[in-house]
Amino acid sequence: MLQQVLHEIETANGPVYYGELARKLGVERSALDGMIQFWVQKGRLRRNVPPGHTDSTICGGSCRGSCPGPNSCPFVMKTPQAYSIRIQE
Amino acid sequence: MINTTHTIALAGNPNTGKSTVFNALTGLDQHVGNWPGKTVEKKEGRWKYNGSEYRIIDLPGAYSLSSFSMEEIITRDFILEEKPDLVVVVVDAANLERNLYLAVQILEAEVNVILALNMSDIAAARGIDIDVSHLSEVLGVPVTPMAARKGQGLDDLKQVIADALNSTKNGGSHHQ
Amino acid sequence: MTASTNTFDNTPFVIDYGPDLEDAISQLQERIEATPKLTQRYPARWLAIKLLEEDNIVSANVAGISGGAEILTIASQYIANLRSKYGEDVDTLIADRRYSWINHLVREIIRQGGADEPTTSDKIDQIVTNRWLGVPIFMLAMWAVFKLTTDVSAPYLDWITDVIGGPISNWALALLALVELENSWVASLVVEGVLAGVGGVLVFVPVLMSLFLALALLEDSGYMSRAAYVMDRLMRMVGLHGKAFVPLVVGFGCNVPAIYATRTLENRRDRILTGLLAPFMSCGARLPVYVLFATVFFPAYSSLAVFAMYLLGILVAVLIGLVLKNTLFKTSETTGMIMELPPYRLPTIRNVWSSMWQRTKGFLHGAATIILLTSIVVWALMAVPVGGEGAFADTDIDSSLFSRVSDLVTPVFKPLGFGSWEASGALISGFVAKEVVVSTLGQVYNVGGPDKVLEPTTFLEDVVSIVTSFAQATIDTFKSIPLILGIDLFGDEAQDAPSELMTAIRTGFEASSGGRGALAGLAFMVFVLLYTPCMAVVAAQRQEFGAKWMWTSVIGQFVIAWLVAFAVFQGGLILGI
Ligand SMILES: Nc1nc2c(ncn2[C@@H]2O[C@H](COP(=O)(O)OP(=O)(O)OP(=O)(O)O)[C@@H](O)[C@H]2O)c(=O)[nH]1
Ligand SMILES: [Mg+2]
Repeated sequence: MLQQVLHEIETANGPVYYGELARKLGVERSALDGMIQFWVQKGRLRRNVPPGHTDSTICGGSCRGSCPGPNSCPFVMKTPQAYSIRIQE
Repeated sequence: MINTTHTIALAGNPNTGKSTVFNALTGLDQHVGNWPGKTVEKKEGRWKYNGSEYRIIDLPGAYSLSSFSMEEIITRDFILEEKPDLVVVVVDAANLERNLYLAVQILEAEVNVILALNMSDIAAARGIDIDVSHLSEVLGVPVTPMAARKGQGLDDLKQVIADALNSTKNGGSHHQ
Repeated sequence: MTASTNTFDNTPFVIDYGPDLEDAISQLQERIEATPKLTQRYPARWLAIKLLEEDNIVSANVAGISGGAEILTIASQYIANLRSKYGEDVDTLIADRRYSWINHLVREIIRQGGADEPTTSDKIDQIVTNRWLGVPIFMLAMWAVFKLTTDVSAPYLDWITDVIGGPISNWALALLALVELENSWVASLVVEGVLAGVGGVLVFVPVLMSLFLALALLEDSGYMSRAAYVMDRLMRMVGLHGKAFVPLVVGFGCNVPAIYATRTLENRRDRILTGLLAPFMSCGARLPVYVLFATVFFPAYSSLAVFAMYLLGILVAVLIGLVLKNTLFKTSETTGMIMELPPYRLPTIRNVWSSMWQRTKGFLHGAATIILLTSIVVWALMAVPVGGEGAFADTDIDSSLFSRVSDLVTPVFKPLGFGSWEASGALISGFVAKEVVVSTLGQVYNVGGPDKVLEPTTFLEDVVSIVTSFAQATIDTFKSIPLILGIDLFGDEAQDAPSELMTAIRTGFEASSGGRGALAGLAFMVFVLLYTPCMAVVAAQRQEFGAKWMWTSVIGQFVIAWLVAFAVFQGGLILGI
């Protein structure tokens, strides 16, 4: 089951989304999330978050200057929570 | 008055309503919040029922009994070192599959368990229909559906807890 | 659901982990049971499983007990065997069995509403992120955004233009007259520098607010995440790294954060590649230029013209990406990715407003700082006479330092149809930021014309006219809403009289293109889309990728902008458009 999750992500042609994979494997969405967190702990999946950010909000600052902080940042984008396969070096 | 004070632990995934149950039983006012990780340390309270007094511990939310996070270690240590007389595993009925991952690990620790199937209001609203008695049969423990925030099923839970403690006192606990 | 009546079974709860694991577990369990110090502390089977999982806390505890070290050695043998047999850590094998066991159980006990049944969000997603429909739906959504942006904001655009050109200019002049400065260089600075420059940009606040409103609606409803997903698929189809979509989507708001967002990419080649492509995403600051030119040259199709610019940006990025991918940036295979799409929800007024306001504030802040500063510099350059004629702030514009300097690059733009010093000057100062293109055009076309004769009005009359015209703009906006859907309910969309600036631009472009003003205007829009977006992007690229890549980007973009604009203008001439 766990390996299947990893395998599906690896071999899919393009990004997979939770609902799609959960339905395909017949698992609950939150259980799928549990399995993904397991792989994150094992270092096989990596959460896509820019350095220095705690969530998936991308904030690169205003059009001029640096980021004034997530709350007063004019150009933020909440990107979907995403994880990718970690390339073994 | 019975002299022996039984210890009951409330365990479960984050944000499943452990503190809500804890408050309902003890009349205390533990912080309840709609985000995971509200309770970070264990909290203790007392619950009186039918002339008996019980010690109740509200454990922090954990997804597993591994030693990955502080919450997991606190939960595991309490269950294995302090050996409570009963662990009430509060599970979110709307996310049963994920919640059972912790529940089965607590069962594997060979403690007495009751499964409190909380958030059954949400599960019902989503059209989720759970075969409670079959679940209870497979796991070999009592299962009680409830909706703690609305106070539904609390009386059942209290009764099941009291019965369980009586039966273990007579029948002895699992190990030793 | 009712409570089960069961109490406890007397057999302990056991999950069957399969023959190999069970063998290891029972062997270890036997050893553990022979060590009373351990059984006092832990249930034997539980401990055996934990040791196989290599739980470091439990292992450390066992090591501290006499006889524990031996058991740990046995455990590590089993672990090594299992790992070589299955190619996975034992804790993974155990977790896997648990998940499978639970999945099996859940399938049995959930009679209805289980994992197989799609939620409403899932059902919407099946359409919205569909392999074939995803991209067209995304295009439609973007089309609606630009329709909203151009149509709904148009009445407010007219209103604010009138307010700045009328009452505010009047008040500024009246104030200057009070301190007897109305004929000095200060008056020139205020009118030709600040009002023509910054004012020219501020008139686009309603346009940007509409864009930000539309984007906020898409974001808060949850659609933007899907758009990102759809874009990702599109990118993989043309062989680009899928993860590059995040920076690129961010780029529609502003290119600077897009450059920083490339940090999400794992490998440097992908980061640089994406950092080179992000500036082609048309940001909010370029919108005023498009709106201005589309209104001047394509009044009947302005939203289509604006939309085309955004599409062209994506197209150029994809093509350049393909070329780079097969030349400079070979290798680096794509990695698999999984993402959670948040459920759809109704946007809340609070979220939408706050996002819209934050972004508008960013724009206003820019107008008050960098655009103001550039306008003043441009004004100063226009005020300096060259060749001894005239005095400071009283020169003929054509013999100002600004026009002479701009004239030097004019030949470069001749083949593109906008080889006039005005257009060249606007593009030079446009390196600072794209709003500056508009502010500079406002300045260069403002001066030199006959002095405006403003009807004297009282302060009260001004205020009344501001308020009533605002109300009229609001009514017009509501009337324009059905137009978004292509329904002309009111049929009274009278074409507004073009502003002075618009007339001046048209005349200027007609002159520089030999009567092909519209074609030259289109080429100009394309050029603005494709060359360096602003200094802040250049600085960000330097910081993230180093000077070499920064120059590659600046020069590369200029060349591409020139070539595409050339193709548009010359191609148009050949086709006789
Ligand atoms: N709908 C519904 N909500 C509930 C129910 N029980 C609890 N909640 C709500 O769920 C949220 C979490 O409750 P808590 O009691 O703080 O959960 P917890 O398990 O203590 O959470 P942590 O301490 O973070 O692990 C609160 O907003 C509760 O009001 C229930 O049966 N139905
Ligand atoms: Mg709590």
